[in-house]
Amino acid sequence: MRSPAHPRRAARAPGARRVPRELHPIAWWLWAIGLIAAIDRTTNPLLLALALAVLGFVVASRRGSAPWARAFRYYVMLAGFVIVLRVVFRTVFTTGVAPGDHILFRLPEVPAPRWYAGVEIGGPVSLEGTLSALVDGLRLGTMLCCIGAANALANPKRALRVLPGALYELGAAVAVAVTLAPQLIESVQRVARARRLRGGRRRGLGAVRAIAIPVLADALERSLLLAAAMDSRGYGRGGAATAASRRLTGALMLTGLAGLCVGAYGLLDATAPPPLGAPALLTGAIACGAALGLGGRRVARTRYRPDPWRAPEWAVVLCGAACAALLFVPADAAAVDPTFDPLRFPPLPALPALGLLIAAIPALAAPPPVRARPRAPTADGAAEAPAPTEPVA
Amino acid sequence: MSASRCRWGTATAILAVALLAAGAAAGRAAPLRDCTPRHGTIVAVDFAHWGGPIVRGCGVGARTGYALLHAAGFTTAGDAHDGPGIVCRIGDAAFRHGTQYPTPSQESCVQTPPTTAYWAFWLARPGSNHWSYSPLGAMGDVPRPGEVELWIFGATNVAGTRGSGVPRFSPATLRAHAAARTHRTRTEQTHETRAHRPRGTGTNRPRPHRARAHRAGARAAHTSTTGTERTSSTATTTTTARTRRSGPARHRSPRRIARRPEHRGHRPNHRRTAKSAAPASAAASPTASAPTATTRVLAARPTNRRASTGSATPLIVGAVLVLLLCAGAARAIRRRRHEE
Repeated sequence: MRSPAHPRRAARAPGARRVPRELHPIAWWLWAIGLIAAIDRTTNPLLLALALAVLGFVVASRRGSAPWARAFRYYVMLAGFVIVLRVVFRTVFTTGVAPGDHILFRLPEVPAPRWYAGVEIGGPVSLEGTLSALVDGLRLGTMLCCIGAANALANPKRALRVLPGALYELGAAVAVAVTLAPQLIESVQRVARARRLRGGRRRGLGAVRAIAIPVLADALERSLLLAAAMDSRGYGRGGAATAASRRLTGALMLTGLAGLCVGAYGLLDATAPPPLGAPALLTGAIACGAALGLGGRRVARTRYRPDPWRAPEWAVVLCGAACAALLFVPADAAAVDPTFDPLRFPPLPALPALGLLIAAIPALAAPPPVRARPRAPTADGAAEAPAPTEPVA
Repeated sequence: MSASRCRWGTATAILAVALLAAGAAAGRAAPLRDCTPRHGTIVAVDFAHWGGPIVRGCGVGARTGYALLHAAGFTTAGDAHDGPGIVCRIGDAAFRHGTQYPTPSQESCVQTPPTTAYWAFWLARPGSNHWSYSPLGAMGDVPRPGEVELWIFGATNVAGTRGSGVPRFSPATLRAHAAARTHRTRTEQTHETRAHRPRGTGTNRPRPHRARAHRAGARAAHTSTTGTERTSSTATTTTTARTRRSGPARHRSPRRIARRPEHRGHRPNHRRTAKSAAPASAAASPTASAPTATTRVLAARPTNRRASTGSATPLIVGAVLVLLLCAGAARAIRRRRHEE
C-alpha cells in the first residue's frame, strides 16, 4: 500500500491491464448456481430477460478461447428450442381458455373418448396461454443458459480436481470423455487440411471414407497413448486398502445411497411418513460422506499447480449469492410471479432486478481470461500433445 | 291493488335496467333459485381454509365444471404451467370483495399446486347424499342437472379419503331444496346491502316496494318475473326467502341492515335473524343440522374483475437494462475479435 508500485495497486490502476488468469472453476459454478436459484424463484419475463442479458454479458466479457468456451451459444439455441417446444405443446394439447381470454386462432379439436377426457387436443388457443407457456419455457431456457455460462467460463478439467479422492477414477473417466469431442473435431480438421494439401477433391461418401479412417486411426493411437500414460502414473491400482475397509466402504456407500433415495422420495411425496423425509436424507448424506472419506484414504494424491482462491473468486461467488438472496427476500409475490390471466404489462420489482444486476458484476470483477496468442503454434505440432494427461490431479 | 301493480311495474323496469347494466359487466350469473333438484347444478366453494364461508351459486346448462363456476359468479385463475384448466385460485365477491384464494403470497400458481394445498373437486350426483372425488378436472367435468359440485381447499391423500380437503358436511346442506334456511336468510339479507353497492342506488330503492308486493300476495307476478330477475342471485333468493316464510320481522331486516357498515353485517344480523326465524319456521330448524355454527353458507355474487393493463414503464426500464447489457456484450465480443 505504501509504494505506488505495489502490484495490486498497479493492477487496479485505470488503463493498466490486469494479469489474465483463469478464475477458479468452482467460483464460476457457485455463481451460476446462485443465478439458477434466483431464476427458479421468478416467472417474471422481464427478470428472466434481464438474467439472460446478464449471462450473455458475463460470458462475452470473461470467456477464454478453449473449445468449451464456445459452448454458450449452443445452450442459447437449446433454450430457444425449449421455448418453442413448450409453446407448441401448449398449443396442441390445449388446456382450455378462460371466459375473457384473447383467442389467437383455433385448431381443429380432436374428440377424446370419455375415459380419456383428461387430455384435450386442439381447440382455441389464447394469447394468455401462449404467453404463459412462453414464460414457462423462458424460465427453463434461462436455467439451461446458466449451466451453459458455467460450462463456458469454467475449465471443466480443473473443476474435476475438487472431486473427492474416492472418486478419482470416475474423475479420470469424465476428464477423458470431456476432452474427447474437441479432440475429435480437431483431428477431423487436421485430416481434412492434410487432404486438401494433397489435392484431394473427392466429395460425398468417398470423402467420408478418406477422412473417417485416418480419424479413427488417430483416435485409437491417442487412446493407446493415454492408456500407457495413465498406467505409468498408477491409475486403477487398488491401493493400500484392506479387504475389511473396502467392505466397510461399500456397505456405507450402499446404505448412504439408499438413504438418499428414500429421503428424496419422502420429501417429495407428501403422504409418506415424516421420518422418511429429511431424517433419512440426512442419514444417507452422512453415510455417503463417510464412505467417500474412507474410500479416499486409500488414494494418496499430490496436487500439481493448485488453483488459487483469491479476492476475485470471493467476489464472483458473493455476487451469485447476493443475487439468490435478493430474490429470496420476501417480496411482492404478484410482482415476482406475475400472471397473464388478465392481460397486463409485467412489473419490474426493484430488489430482484438489483440482484440480477449484481450478478453481472463478475464481468468486471473476474480477471480477464487467458486468450490464445494470435498466430501461436496452433498448427499441428502443438496440438498433438496428449491433453488428457494434464487435467486430473 | 292497482297501486301495488304500478309499483311492481316500476320495480320490474328498474330491475330490467339493472339487469342490462350488470349483465354486460358480470356475465351469466344464474340466480340460486334457478337450481331445483331436477334442474341446474349447484356449485359451492368452501373458503373455510381462510376462515371464510361456503359460497354457493347455481348454473344452468353449463357445459363444463369450469363454465359452471364462472356462470355462478366465481372467478378462477389457473397456473402458469397448466393454464386455466387447473383451478389454482377461486374468488367470489361474497368473500372479501372477490379476492382470489390462495393469494399470490400463499401459492405462486406457477406449477401445478401440490396435493397438500389445492382446490379439491367433489361431486354429489343427483339425489345422492355422498361426496365423490371428481375423476376429471374442471374443464373435463360435465355438470348434470341436480348435481352438487364442491370446491374445497386443503390436502388429500391419493385416494381422497383423508385430509383437510375432504368435506365434513353432507351435500344435502348445499342442495337446492334443503339448505339451512336460517343461514341463508341471514346471509342473503346481509348481501342485499352489499350486492348492489357498485351498481348505484337505483336498485336499492325498489326493494321495499317489492317486498310489499310479495306480502300483498303477488306470488303469480313473482314467478312470472323469474326470467328477468337474473340481475343478481341475491336479489331473487331474498325474495324467495321472504315468500316462503311470512314472519313479521323479516321484511324489516333489510332496511335496518342497510344502515350498518358493510363488512360488519354478518354477526349482529346472524344473532337477530336466528332469534326471529326460530319460532317462525319450525320446519327449517332440523335442516340446520349440517352446517355448524362456524359454517356459513353465502350466495355467490358475480365478481367484476378489474382489467387493468398496468403500466408500461417497467417494461421500458427492463428493456433499456437488457439493451445496455447486450451493448456491453457486443462491445466485449468486438474487442475480442479485434485482439485475435
